[in-house]
Amino acid sequence: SAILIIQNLQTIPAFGQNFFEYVLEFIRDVSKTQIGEEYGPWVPFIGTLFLFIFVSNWSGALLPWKIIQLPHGELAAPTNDINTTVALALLTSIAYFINMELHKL
Amino acid sequence: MMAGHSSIKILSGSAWTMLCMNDLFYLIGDLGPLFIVLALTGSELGVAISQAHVSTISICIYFNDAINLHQTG
Repeated sequence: SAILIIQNLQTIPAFGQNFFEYVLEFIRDVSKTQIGEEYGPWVPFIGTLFLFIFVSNWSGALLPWKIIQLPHGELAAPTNDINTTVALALLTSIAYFINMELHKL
Repeated sequence: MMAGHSSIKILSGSAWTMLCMNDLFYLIGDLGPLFIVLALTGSELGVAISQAHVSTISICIYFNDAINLHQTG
């Protein structure tokens, strides 16, 4: 849906463009406040993590996925599974060490 | 998670039953549990936003440490 909105960028934003600009502004503001001067390159990474965590948790909270029966295990929010949280932690750790390497004095 | 979902389920059932009574008094009373169900759904949205926000802030703080506050030597 974001790609569809981008097809019709307008100087005076309409509904969809307004919404996505708001999301981007929010994420960029968070990054700028916390990271400081060199926040630019990391906005896409942080935005991706924010939206992923938000949508996963929200979908888990809204619907009782357990009513859908599976042969093995159960259906639940993605963040219920430790594999998801481990992947997020590894991504952040790798990015952290990349930052350390990039900013050696 | 379970407590919230159970509350929503019970209150939704109550609201629906009151609607099916075909009585003006019950129709007006229906607004109580219905409002509580909507409030709980809103609070779930609020919790999801705050959790994602806290995660993002925490990651940004780590990056701040790596970019600005690290020491060498």
